[in-house]
This record gives sequence, C-alpha cells and structure tokens, in this order.
Amino acid sequence: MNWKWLGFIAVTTILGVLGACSSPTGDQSRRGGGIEIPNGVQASITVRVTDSAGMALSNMPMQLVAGESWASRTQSGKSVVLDSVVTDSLGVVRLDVTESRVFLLARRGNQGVCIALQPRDSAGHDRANPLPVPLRTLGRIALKSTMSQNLAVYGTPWHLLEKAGGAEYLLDSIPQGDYMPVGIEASGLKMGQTISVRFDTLTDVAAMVFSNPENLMIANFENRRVLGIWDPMHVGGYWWATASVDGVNSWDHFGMKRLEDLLDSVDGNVYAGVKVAFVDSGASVANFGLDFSTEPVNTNLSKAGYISFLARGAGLWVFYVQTQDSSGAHSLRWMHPFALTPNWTRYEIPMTSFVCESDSLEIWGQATRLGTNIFWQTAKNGNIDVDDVVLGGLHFIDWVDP
Amino acid sequence: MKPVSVAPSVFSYFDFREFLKERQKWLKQQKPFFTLEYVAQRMDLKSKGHVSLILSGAKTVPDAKIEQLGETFFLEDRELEFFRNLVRYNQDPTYRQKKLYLDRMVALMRISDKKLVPAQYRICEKWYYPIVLETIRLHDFTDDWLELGKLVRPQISASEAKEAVQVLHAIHLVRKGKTGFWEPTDVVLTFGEGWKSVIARNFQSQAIELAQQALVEVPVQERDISTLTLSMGHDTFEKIQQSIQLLRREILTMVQADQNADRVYQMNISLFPASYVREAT
Repeated sequence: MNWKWLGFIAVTTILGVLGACSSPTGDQSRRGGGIEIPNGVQASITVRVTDSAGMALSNMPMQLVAGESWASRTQSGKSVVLDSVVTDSLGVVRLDVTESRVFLLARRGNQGVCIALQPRDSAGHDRANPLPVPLRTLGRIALKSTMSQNLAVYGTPWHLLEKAGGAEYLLDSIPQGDYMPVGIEASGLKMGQTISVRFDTLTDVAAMVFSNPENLMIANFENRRVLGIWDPMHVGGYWWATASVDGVNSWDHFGMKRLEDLLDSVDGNVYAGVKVAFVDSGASVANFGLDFSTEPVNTNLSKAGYISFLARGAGLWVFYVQTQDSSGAHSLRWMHPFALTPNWTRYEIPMTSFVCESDSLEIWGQATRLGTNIFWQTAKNGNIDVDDVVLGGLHFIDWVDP
Repeated sequence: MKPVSVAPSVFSYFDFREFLKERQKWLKQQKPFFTLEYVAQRMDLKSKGHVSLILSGAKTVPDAKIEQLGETFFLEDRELEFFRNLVRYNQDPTYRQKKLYLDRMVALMRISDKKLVPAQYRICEKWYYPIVLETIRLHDFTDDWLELGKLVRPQISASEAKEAVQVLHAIHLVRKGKTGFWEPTDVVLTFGEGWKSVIARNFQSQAIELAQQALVEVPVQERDISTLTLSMGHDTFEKIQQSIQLLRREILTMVQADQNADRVYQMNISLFPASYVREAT
C-alpha cells in the first residue's frame, strides 16, 4: 500500500450467507471451522532479458499478456495485455502479476521472446530472481477456423485478434523449446458442441533456454475449452520424423533430412515436408508426423468426423492416427493407405474408415479414442509435403463426468 | 442444567470468566467434588463466595494466583500459558499491555491451525471450493453431488460439486472418514500472513462479487453488510490492521467453539485508501 495515498480510508465488512440453512444430517453436534486468507503480499516476477549472446537488453518494452480467456476478453472489449513495462539498464524487469497464467512478451525486429509462465505460489519470501531470457528468432504459423467460430490464439498476441471466424490467421510467434507455444480457444463454445480447426505448419524452430527456472513454472494452458494442437507443455505440438532400418530406429538419419529442414516456407504459405531416401536396401520404414498429445488429457477424437489434409509428393504412403484409451493406455495405430500425386490434393478420411493395425478386433466407434499423433509412413523412397491439416468435428468434453 | 458434552478449550475463549464457568460445569460432571468450595479450598481463598465474585467480575484475580487458578482447573502446558495471558488480557487496563497479551494468545492459538502449503492454494481456484469444504464439515455426504451442490448458495451443479471434492481430496483437505462420509482433514485452515498467490487473490475478488450478490439476494436479517468511511492517519491504520487480524482470530475461535454449526457464511473484510495524500507545498 502506498502510504502517501492514504488519507481517506473505507472499511467494509461484509458478512453474507452462502450455505443454505438446513439441519445437519447424521450426528447432532457439528463444530464449526474456517478458512483464513490474510492480506498476503503482492505476487511478482522478475526477468532479465538478453540477446542470444547473453548481453542485457536495456530499455526494452515488454508486455504481460493474459494467459487464458482471450476470446471472452476480446468479446467484452477488455485488453489481453495486462501490463506494459520497460527493462532497466541491466535488462531487468519486474512485473506485478494479477493472473495465474500469463505470457511475457517482447519483440525486437524479427526476434522476440514469448514465455508462458505463472508465478510460483509462495507462502514466504519475495525473492528477486533475475532470469536471463534470450531473444530468439520468430517462427510463423497459420491457423484458420473452418467453421464460423471466432478463434483466440494463445502465444502470438502481436498479430492476433479482431479477425472474424473462418478467416486465416498468419501469425508470428516464438517457439518454446522445440515446440510452438500455441493453444486455441474457440469463443462461444459449449460442452457438447463441435469445432473444426485447420492449422498450417510452423517454421524455424529454436530452443528457449531457462538458465534458472527457480521462480517460474511453465504454464499448462490447457483447460477444457482449449484444443491443444500446439501445446506449450513439452509433450506436444511438434513435427517429427523417424526412420527405421533393419529394426533400428533413428530420428533423422538413414537418408532422411534433419528435422529442422522439414519445414518449408513459401511466401504466403507454409507447409511441412520430408524427402525419404534410404541409404541401403534393408527393411526400412520412415515416419513423418505431428505429435499433438497433451498429457494427461489428450484431445478426444472419438466424436471427430474426419481428418483431412493437403498433400503432394510421390510414392505409396500410409496415413496413421495414433490413439490411447480414456485411461491414457492401450495405444493403438489406425491406418489408411493412399497414393500421392505431384499436385496438391486434399485427402479427407472419415474416422470410421480407419483400420486398426494394432488390433484387428478394434473398431473406431467402439470406445473413447484420445489422439496423440498423426503421421505418414512409407517403406520406399519418396517425398511428401503436407499442409492444412483439419481435425473435423472435434468434440469437446468436460473432464469431470457430468 | 444443560450438560456440557465436550471439554471447553481455553483457546476458544477471549473471556477467562466465561471459560471458567463452562469449565467448572464440565469438570463437575466428570468429578462431582469439583464445586466452588473445592476451588476456594485449592486457591486458599476464604469462601466459595470469593470464587463467585471472581467469576462474576466483581473481583479480580491477583497476579500471583493466576497460575494456581489455572492448575486448579486442570490446565497445563500451552493451555496454562494461554490462560495466564488471557487473565492478564482481561484484567490489564492499558491498551499496550492488553495488545501484548493478546499477541501471545494469538501466537499460541495459531499453533493448532493448519497452514496451507502452496500446492494447496488450489482450494481457491473456484469460488465454491472453500464453501464445499465447509459444507462437508456440516453434513454427511458420500457421493450425492446433486444434494451437495444444492446446499451451496448460489447453487452449483452436481458436476461442479464433484469436481470440488475431487480437487479438495487431491490436495489433502478432505478425506473419506471411517463412516464412509467425506470430512475435512482440519478444523481451521490458514494461508498465513505471507502468502503470495494469484489464485487466492482472484478468489478474494470473487468473494467480493459474492457479497455484491448477497446485498441484493439475501434478506437483510440473514446477513450483515456494514460500511465505514473514515479519515485517519497511518498509525491508526496500522492499529486497525492489527485489530482486523485479531478479529479474524477471534471469529475463527468462536466458530471452532460452536457446536451447532448448520450453514456456511462468507466474511470479507476490506480496508483500503479512498483518497490521496495531498503533497506538501
């Protein structure tokens, strides 16, 4: 409290009834109890911003952005930017935090930082904990809603909002770790309603290094209204490629291009692609896919109607969806073979047409299917580019049984 | 005479005479010899009338006799120390000394409170979590989520009630008792003075919103919403802050002593500046 401001004090004591009046059941004598929340101290975070060489960035504007409910904030005319500050001569900034989930953002040219964070709850001391956060090169992502809902997208506030549903968002963002910290929230969505979200690929992955995460926790932005296509948690939201030759698995060898080369950007479009050129004639298989697992609550694909994507290339490929059951176990692979052509072609595959490779007795609609991955597989040399993946008719469910 | 079923705890009283009266009733049920004559005899007092005068407030307890009085009523250790401070708090005429004794009492009372660890701050994630916890204290519930939800005011859904209990269970603030009913693990929970949590701050904001609703929706005879607009200086502000702290403590003590709790209340206390200090010219 600022004492200079103190001059006219209002005291409000409010005692309201919250529990309904009723006689206790069971035993006749019930002792009271209570929960006390004293005044407490202000929650804050302190961050030191550096360039990639570790030099402090002084006098740099930064923004503290709300970590959730973007859609409702935008609709009600509230800003998603909670606070704006400028770093001091040492690149240090301290921010009072008024929300439990926030983004810290800064941008300089084509570099920036975007950290999903939440202040660690503390019952004690207010430790100053300068946290070097280097700037990284921005990545790009394109998103669009295939239906009429407005989308609010986490993690990319500087090129966001004010767009109508169905329009395409072309966004700059910052990768976090190897993964894009993006979540999607559809406004006006209620339990049981469905939405389709089309997403494009990202480029230019780079690592975000926390030199001392003592006072921070990486926020999990997932909640029951958020579709974790790219989830800020480390478990999801990245393209990957693997190859297996004679039973030996590898991430980016055996003739496959390195992961960072998979992602291509053409002006006005971004897409993911991979060229497969096995270096020997052994039994080989190459996989190229997108992990969108959001443990512990993965995206429920049970009520999804279809998956579609644009693809071009050559060779015979098998498209896979990987699922778990509602307990997060019993991983299954669902397959759909198809032949690629050199021109961009949209493939739309109804979920019911997938065949379970892992267990021939399994039928898609028989049980809950929580999606973790989609991927394309080939056993011969070939190439594939993928764009505009659509999960059609996704069904949002409450994580608590109604 | 109404039987006193549970031993009165000295920590539940801010008036030592009230405590001694209740304690004497209870002790007499347990030990029929525990009469006022017996007390007078143990205290080397002239007669039971002298004891009556102390209990009625007509006479004070000499400082040298406080310890003996507590021991006569079978108090020991922390209870006895609390009692010594309680008697002096009641009898000392000066504000400064009274506050000293009260601070010591509060410190002794706090030892029995459960201080939440940060992971348990989730209790504030939703406005109804604390209310569900206190409702469980008052009523027997197994898995009747609909009924539990209906008791919260304003009502919450069955799934919200279930979710609340799941969260409270996950952070070890409720458990299934031997009888199969949910029960709180502790009587009084406190965040402690130095807490720092956005979740808790948001809860306070929601609690203030609840008060706004109550202002309109709860009949005036069922609630007490009062306000003060004050002008004062820094020192008085600090004194009021201390008084608020003690008031919270006293209220928590009162509810612990209440053996007929039947509903949950939300109490918000706000004290904040409503004007600026004029800069000196």
